[in-house]
Amino acid sequence: MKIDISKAEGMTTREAVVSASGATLLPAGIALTGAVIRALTKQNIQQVEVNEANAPDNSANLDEQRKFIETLFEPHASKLMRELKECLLKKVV
Amino acid sequence: MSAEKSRISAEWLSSLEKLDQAQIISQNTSAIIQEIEKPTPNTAALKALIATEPLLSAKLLLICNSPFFGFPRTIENIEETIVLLGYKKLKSLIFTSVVMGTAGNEKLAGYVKHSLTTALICRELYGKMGLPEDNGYLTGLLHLLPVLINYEPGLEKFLTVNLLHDASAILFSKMNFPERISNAIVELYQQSRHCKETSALKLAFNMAIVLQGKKEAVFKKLNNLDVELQVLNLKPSELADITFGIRDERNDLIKLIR
Repeated sequence: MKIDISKAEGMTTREAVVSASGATLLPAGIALTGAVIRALTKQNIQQVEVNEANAPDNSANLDEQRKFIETLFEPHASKLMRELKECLLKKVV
Repeated sequence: MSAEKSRISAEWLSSLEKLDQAQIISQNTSAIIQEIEKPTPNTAALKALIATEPLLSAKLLLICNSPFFGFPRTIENIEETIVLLGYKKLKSLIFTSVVMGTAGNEKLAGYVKHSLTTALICRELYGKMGLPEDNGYLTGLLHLLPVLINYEPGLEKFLTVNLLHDASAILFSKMNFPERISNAIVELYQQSRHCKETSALKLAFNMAIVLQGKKEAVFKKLNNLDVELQVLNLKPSELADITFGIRDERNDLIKLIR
């Protein structure tokens, strides 16, 4: 699937990203982080081929990660550890 | 601990003691590190040393051209790599390459990923404390070095905090390494020590477990982190921000070991 680079954050490249001069800027299978997208935008790349299936964090994975965090924190009842658990759970989105 | 476990642990420590420096890091890589550590490293000498190790050269270029560093153009030679990265980052990169090199053993891949994740979190924590970020990265990266360089099938079954402490002490006494880095690693496994470096490493170690997720985690239990958060004067929300802040960078980095 080819999409606008501004909408690609968090996805992974399905094909190598190649510049107008033919140089490979990014191989296939690489996560498109904010920093990568900024670097590609500077190289005038406007669209990229991405893997739909690799879009980050589907709901099953998110549930599994939340459960894992709950399990890890189960033995820890202190105020700071409870707060840390809640902060980490909020980040799983 | 059962007599059998004690015997296997003692044998493992003994085999670690018998390793010489060249088996830990090749003589040439060691010479590269020594050149970098000089007050005024010689770029030409470094280039010549790195060029004699084709695998290291290839790995450095691969890592340097990855999104992990995010350079907008292709880096094509080692000299450029040295100039662009600077000596401190080059040292981190060489050790990253050494650690990644051990991931050829499939059973070690989880430990390598854990080490890389700990390195990135530890780098951020050191930066927040005003300590050298590169030292934080190396501390996290190398905290499981005894396991990575002296892995034996079934090691997981008898790997304890005490064994890791003894193994780290043996290994780092053999290596000419900055004291603050080796001390933080050895003290990570010494529950009573609470200096800033050790606290940062312990927080990073535990948060790496969280980020690894259930399937990939090689450690399945968290320590209580109350003291470490207090030593660094860090709010839980700040630690959570740092942990998830490096997630994309981590994913980019571990792709390089596949």
